[in-house]
Amino acid sequence: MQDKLINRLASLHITWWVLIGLIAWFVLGANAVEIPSFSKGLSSMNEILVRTWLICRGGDHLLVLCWFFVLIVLAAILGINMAACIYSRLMRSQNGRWPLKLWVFTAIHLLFALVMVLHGLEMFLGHKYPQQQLKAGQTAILDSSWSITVHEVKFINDPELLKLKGQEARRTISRDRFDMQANFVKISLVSNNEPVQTGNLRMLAPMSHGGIHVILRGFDYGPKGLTARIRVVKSFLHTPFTIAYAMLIISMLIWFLLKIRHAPGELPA
Amino acid sequence: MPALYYKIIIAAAFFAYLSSLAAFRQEWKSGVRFLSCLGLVLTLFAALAGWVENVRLPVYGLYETSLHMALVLGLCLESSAHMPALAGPWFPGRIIAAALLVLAWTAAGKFGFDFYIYQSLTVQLFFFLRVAAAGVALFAFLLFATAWANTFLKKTKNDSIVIRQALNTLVVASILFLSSELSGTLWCMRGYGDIWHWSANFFKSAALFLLLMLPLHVPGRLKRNMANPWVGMICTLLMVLAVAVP
Repeated sequence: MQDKLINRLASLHITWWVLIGLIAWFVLGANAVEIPSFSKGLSSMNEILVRTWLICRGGDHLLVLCWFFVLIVLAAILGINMAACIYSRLMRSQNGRWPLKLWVFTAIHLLFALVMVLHGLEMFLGHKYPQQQLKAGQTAILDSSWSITVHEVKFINDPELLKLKGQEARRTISRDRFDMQANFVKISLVSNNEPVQTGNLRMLAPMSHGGIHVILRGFDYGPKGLTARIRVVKSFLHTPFTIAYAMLIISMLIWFLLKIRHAPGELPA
Repeated sequence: MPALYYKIIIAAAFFAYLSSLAAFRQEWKSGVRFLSCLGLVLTLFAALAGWVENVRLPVYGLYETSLHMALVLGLCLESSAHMPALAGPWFPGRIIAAALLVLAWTAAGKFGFDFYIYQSLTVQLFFFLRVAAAGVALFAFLLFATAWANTFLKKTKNDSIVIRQALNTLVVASILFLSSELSGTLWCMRGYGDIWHWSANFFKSAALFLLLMLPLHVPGRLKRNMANPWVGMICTLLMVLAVAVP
């Protein structure tokens, strides 16, 4: 009875239809971004943890909330289907020979499940602090124990470029007009009034201390002078996620190599 | 390098491919091999010249996308040219590669905007691997189309060998696409502090990955009904179009 249920849950038909459902749902979401209220809802989701968003702001963005709920349901069905599939494979392994190809195939699914779980955990674990706009000498208090102090905002290129937005910025701010190495923000990460780390933040080069990541989102130039947009995120999942993702890719590569090795004379692609 | 030089190299690669098609029709085997290899080498030369001139890998844009998709498709076609079972996509593949070169020729030397974030290798790899994945997916599309043509038009049995190769190629496309996604994730972590961002681009990426996974998860009953080539053709074509027309 139990085996019958697991076999049903492990059905490839479920996988097939859920995959189609997820594709349709993501396409719908990508197109719904054109709706201002939906787009605003997504932006608010990016600002804070999804856990906090669901409690505090979800009710204000019902369209996004419904879309997100269906996404979670579809992902949960796929997760159950995958778990049943892996379980039935493991059960089968006890009855007979298990070639390397099958091990790798199962590893791919386990790693994919792990990547999805880490994706899910990122929505609920850690903390996202609101983005700060700071100039040299300013301090932002993040919570009762953490704060950041900006010592210097150095921008050696033409600051007028920072006033450009969207496509105009993409067209104008070229590599020789924005030096990512030379432009930096010197900050200190402070815990209980004690600086725990001081360093330079650059674009796409954050500063990390334990699970705290300080990210430079950009520079701004306006009436207040030169300011830096800084975001602080507390998450321990970045490294495990990167490792799991890389292992997933490697396991797929091994599976491919095993497949072509088992069938000599076939495609090297 | 002036745009005119790129135009000349790409035009030469195009005519080499056309000549190889003519040689194929005339059954001049050594000529086919030489001319198609010449076309590929010229395409590679144009691509490398662009990399060196811009000091970066290719990014999105009509010229760079079409040129690099033609290059990857050409590499796939050449690497499988010695396998009789995979001879099917050779002729249509060369036509598609030549068509991509025509597209590249119309915008020769017009590289994508030199945005400052291209100083980061992670960002460059994100675009480069994605275009490479689309090129391999295009080859997979040709293999699925060959399997369909062999089965339905020639009224032969289920062409399982070609379907298997198409699925293997799809795995390669998926590996390249996931590698691009990993680069994108690193970009997102360093630029936003998140693994995932709730935005249209991320939804599109997820949909594209699932599209690549769909032909690998066709249920048995549908497989027996020969849905495999159709599913593969539709999914790979949609993936290629989504990358080529972002």
